Amino acid sequence: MKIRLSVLIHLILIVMALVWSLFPIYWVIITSFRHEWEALAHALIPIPLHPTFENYIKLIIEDRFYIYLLNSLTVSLGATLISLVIGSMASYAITRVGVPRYVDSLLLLWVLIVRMLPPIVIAIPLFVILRSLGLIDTRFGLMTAYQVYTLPYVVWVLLSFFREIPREVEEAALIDGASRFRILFSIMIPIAMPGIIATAVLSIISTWNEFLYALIFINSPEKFTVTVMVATYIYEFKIEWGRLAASGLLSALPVLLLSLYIQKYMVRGLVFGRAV
Amino acid sequence: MDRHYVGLLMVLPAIVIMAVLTLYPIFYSIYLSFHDFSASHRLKYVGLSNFMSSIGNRLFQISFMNTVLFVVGATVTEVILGLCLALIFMWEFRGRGILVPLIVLPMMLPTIVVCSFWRILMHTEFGVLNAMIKLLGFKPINWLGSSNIALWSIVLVDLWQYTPFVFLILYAGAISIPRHIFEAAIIDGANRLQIIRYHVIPFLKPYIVIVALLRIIDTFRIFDKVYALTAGGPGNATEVLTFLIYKIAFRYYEFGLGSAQAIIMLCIVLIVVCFYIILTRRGRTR
Repeated sequence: MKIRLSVLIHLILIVMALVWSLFPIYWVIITSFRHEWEALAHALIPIPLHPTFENYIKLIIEDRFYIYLLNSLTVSLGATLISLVIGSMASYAITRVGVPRYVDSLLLLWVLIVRMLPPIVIAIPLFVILRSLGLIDTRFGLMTAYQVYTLPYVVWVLLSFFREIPREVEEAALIDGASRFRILFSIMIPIAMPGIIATAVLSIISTWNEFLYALIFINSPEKFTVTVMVATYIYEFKIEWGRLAASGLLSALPVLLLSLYIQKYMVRGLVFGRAV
Repeated sequence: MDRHYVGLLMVLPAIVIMAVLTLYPIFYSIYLSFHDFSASHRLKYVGLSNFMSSIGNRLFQISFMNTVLFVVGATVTEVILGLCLALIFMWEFRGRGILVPLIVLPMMLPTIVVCSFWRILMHTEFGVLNAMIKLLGFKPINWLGSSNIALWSIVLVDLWQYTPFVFLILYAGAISIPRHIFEAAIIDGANRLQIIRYHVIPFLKPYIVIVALLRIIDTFRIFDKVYALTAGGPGNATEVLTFLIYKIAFRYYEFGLGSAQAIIMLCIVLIVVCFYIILTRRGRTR
């Protein structure tokens, strides 16, 4: 009887945790399928009485929400790609090729310090730099600014993935006279691919979710990323909850799908990668 | 030596980018903080006056206090709740593999999207939270519009979003404890609470130390939630440092003053982090 009770308590706690995490998401999903009047009038009914796609249709046709999804996609992919190329070279050099004394430890120390920096501290000088380069209000400028987050993260996480590859693998290629760049791109990266994809996915998620720099460095509405657009909607659609909910869900869907894909690597990436 | 040359060539792009985008900006920020650099003035040296006027400024003090309240409130509650969740989920049961990804879902959402969700839930008149509260016979709560409550509502939203982060790290730690330790303890007649008290918590201590540090660092920079939930209001009740600096620099274009406040903020973060590391180190050697 005593064991039964503890199992019951355990079960109740699990259910409570699930409800706490999922109820808000569930509620917003049903709100997105409701007419405005229904969402306001029936605050407690947990299913849409007159389900409708109206909110999504309005959002996509009238507000052309796909523009902002594409902007976010471009910026996230671009920033991640730049970081992967530069970061994989740096990580490989530090773990395997060898760099002059102190260069590696100083770089890694700096990577950790950058992790602690509040992003607003670099935002003002970064704004001045980007403006002088003519990169304010460009997607490429935002990609450049995101290197502040993604590059240290990629370098740090790839270190551990490269370390796991046995040295023997590259030794044969070295004896054959292959260059270090060749070895990196045709041996190391293919072997570390699962880890690199996980790293890339977390980098895409964190840049997709970023808000402060996207708000500061982009001014033209047609270049807004999804987070800036949803923030605009929050104040614009005060009680048009259906459309607000639909825009939030559409913005979150890509990252939710990606996050399910990388469950296995989540912990290793997250300790460092919670940049936003 | 030749090898090091190739190695240096390969880290160089990373070093250059990091130097241009992070190292140089910090020094440039320090430089700007001693100048009046705004729409009306082009770089006039003003000594320490930006710092003095910041520290003496009432709004800056309020923002500082609110930031500290938020950091402490969010970090403490998230670590406690995250630990509880990890202790609930560390025991094997059927379906755990599916439930853990569901529990951590809130953490993967963009913060702004999380805010849009909670603005819907927390609406004073039509929100579902107040509808439930009314159903239970209590008075509705003005979640985001009352100056006594708004900051704690933001803590609540942060709690919802980032408790899963604490949970995930502590859970990974907890399931890495060798099972034979538990089996031995059960043979010795220990129950689950005793196992938690004498085996799990001591094992998780270093994980808790790190995860709390990460939460402190990340809650200090709070911006998105304030921007999207309350915009610093009502009054100055939820004004925080990053939001204040953002407004000074990018709405009023007072780059010098903004830089000075950003540098003060950076110093606060560094002091807190150093203090925290010293404190937890000392606890370990004792």
